[in-house]
Amino acid sequence: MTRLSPARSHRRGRIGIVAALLGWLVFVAAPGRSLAQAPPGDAPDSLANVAPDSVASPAPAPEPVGNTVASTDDLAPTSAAPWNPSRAVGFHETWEQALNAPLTLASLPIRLLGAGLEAGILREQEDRWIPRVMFFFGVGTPLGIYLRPAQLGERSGMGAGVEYRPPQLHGWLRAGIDASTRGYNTTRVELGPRLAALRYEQAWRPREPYFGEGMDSREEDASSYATSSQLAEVRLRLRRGTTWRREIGAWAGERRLVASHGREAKRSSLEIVHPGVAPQALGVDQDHIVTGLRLALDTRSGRPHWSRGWRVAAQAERFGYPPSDGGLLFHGAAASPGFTRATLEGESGISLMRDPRTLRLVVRVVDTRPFDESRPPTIVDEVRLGGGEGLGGFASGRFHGSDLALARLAYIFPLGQFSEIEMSTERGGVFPNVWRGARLDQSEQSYGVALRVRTERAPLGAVRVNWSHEAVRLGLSVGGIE
Amino acid sequence: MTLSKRLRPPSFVAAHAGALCLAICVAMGGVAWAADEAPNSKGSKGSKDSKGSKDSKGSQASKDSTATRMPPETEIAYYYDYVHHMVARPIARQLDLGRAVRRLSGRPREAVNVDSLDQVRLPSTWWTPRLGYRPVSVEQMLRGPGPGTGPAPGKLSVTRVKTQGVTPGFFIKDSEGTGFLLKFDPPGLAEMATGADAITTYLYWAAGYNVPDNTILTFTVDDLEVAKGAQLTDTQGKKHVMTRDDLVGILAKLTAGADGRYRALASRLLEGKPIGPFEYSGRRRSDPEDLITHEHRRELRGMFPMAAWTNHADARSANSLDVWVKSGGRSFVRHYLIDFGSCLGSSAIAKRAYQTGTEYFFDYGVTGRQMGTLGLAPFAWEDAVDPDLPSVGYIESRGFDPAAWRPYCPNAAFDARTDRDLRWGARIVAAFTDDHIRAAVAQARFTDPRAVEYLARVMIERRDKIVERWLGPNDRTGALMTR
Repeated sequence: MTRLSPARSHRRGRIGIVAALLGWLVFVAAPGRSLAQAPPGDAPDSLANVAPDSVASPAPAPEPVGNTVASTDDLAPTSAAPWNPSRAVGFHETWEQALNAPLTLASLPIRLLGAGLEAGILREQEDRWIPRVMFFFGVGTPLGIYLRPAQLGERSGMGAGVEYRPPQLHGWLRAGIDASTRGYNTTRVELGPRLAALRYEQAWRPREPYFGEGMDSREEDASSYATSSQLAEVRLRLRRGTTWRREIGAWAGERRLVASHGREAKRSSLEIVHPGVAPQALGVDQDHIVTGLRLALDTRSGRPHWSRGWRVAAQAERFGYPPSDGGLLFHGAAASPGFTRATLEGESGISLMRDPRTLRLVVRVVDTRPFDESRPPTIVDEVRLGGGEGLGGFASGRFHGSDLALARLAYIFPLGQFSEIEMSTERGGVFPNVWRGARLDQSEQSYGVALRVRTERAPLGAVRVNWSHEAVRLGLSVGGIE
Repeated sequence: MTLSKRLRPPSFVAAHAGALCLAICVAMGGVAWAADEAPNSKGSKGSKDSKGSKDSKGSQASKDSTATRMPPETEIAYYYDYVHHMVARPIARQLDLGRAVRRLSGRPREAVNVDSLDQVRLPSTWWTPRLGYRPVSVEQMLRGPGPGTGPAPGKLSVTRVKTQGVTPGFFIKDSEGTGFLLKFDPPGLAEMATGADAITTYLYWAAGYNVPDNTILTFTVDDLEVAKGAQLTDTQGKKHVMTRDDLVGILAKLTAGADGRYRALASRLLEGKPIGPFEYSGRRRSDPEDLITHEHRRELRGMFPMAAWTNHADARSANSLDVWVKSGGRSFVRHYLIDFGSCLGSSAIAKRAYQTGTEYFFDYGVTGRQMGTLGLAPFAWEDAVDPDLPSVGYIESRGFDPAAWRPYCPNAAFDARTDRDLRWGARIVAAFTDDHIRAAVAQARFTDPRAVEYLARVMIERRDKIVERWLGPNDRTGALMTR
């Protein structure tokens, strides 16, 4: 066995590679390999009246055909065996297949995935299991039972809800239960027409986040707490108008709320991370008489997303002390901190062009005033920013405070018939006093881009990326985009 | 230096690099060959028609074969079809090095089934030379696949009803026992889908394609009777025995005319055994007469001008049908285009979106341009004017650009088109005279004369744009030789 010296071996290797490449190029560049250029000899019945020309040449001037058609039967499709080449013709010629071979191999897993997907869809078509599942979901509809995704807010996990609206009561009774994989649940019962209804709600939220007070709180101080609440109230709501939609709402009732140690596995409980806050927040049976009023005017319109008009809303809510001998319905402590909260919100947008490119601005201000300055609301009643509540580039519930100010500027433009992009930026913060203490340099900035799937009527869902100097957050939402 | 040392091959590899390269090339070529054939078997994809080894035996077309076996029935996965043609195939196409080489060298792959004079080699089970290649009178066009008379007078016996979808579909037999499928208009858009279907059927037949015999039919509830053992397919796809009450209930959901008559498109059931749709890519490998991958068929590539003209945006497998026919002493597969309810200004269940014809459902080019300009580039359709004619839907000619026309999702045969294919198809479109167009539009039996006039004018103007674009203004006289 001859052993080559390293230098000679490498030289022979290079020569081999060059030879192979040259061979390849000759193979690739070899003309006339196309079956498209098959000899014309076996064309039994071609209508030869157009001269062949190169692709780049001007269009040929067709000559009139000499054939005459005696009857419609002459125009009927033939039963004769069709012309075919001598062998099957694939999409690619051999040299194209060779050229594409590396990518063909590399894409094999994707192709297998595609084949599996295709087989699955075919199976679904044959077995119709999607309509069957949909039928299962709709089976309770005549009885007034509806299944739907849970409405438990962010970070509550995968969940589902059941609603019961017996048709015999014409919508006067509405009851529902929502539950999720992260242990969140809510039970709701409403009695009466939507204009004026009695409402009871019980909720359990075991993994609520808390990072500390104000904008100086640190991400590393993440903790969790749980809340259990009950609410009973009378709610009035009046809506009028189609172009200028007016809304007046008022409510009065009693709320009992107890916070306890957090159940979040990856975060320590509140009393461990924030021992100074815990005594006022945890284990205290808070009871409030809640009254509120809301006024709103909405002129927004446009499809597929609202593209013109404006909206203003003002809401005032009072969390008052219960009677000195305990609550009316629930029997919590009478010593809960009382406060009032005002929320002002304004939104406007302008658009240009037929498929709207829309610029939107939203401003929200929340002002909380305790009855007694020495007894501010506990952390469960503080306003929050982060995630879906504003400043989407930060973790949900990242900032807690008494007041907040937030502005959001968004630009929405279409990508095509069924998709659009929303680019947005938010600036805001929580403050002890929004009117006197709000400072731009103490606020935070967040950015976001969302790819929204839409029909010609409305957006259906969105994939979002929000980011800030602290985090990048991905989100997926289906329905309820606007 | 360190790097080059690291990359230095072992001596054996170095010594045999050339041979290795060649071996790898051959091996990968072999794999690629096999893989390349895989998409070509999509005519049989996901179906019982996927046993490739047997199919390859039939690669020799037998011109006098009369005893071929019926290919297995196929089915396509409708939603996967969209995903495949809108996502997977465009990406694969961009990564196709062979195509890149062809583009760089200016030598696109031409249709395979053309002769030295660039004409379709005949006979063809896909296409028959008619307008553009033979004189076809208006009367001949109106006879179409024949007889063009619709169901025979007398009671119409309903044998089966499908209730899935926006509008129901009735399978009936007329008094002579001939089978028809009755299709209806979507709610609020009377005459639109049925009219579009009827008109386009005549146009495609005159263009040479195989189509069913479609006519407009009006009837009353009393004209229908439930056939013995008739079945009703509910929304879950379950079949039940149908009663007269079921029939009346289904009709009650449709909109009758002022005279109480219902309007439908009566589509004569095709003779032969349907074996599923054909695809615009690959081939039906179980059919020994289907040896040319469909992307390289002139009849399919060259259909692009017809599709653009008639706004046949849903030109995909779902709207095609292969039928196993016995005729002329032999059995074979004939390829049909069906379901033209999504043509012209109709999208079958609603009127056309403004975007239709100007962009794919998901269009990488349009999306990229919009992202690059932050959406400030106007869309091609944004100047469109809606004629506001419910029976027409939305179609116009002013902004129509034949070369920029797009179906809903990329069509493999259209994507492979070359200038020669386009000129071949444009010549067919050019041969439609104003009389042909007006006669076809009249077959929609629109009650609004404005709809008739508008649609005829738009079709004439769109035809002229196609002629000018692909045959050129100077060649127009010659191209229109059948006028």
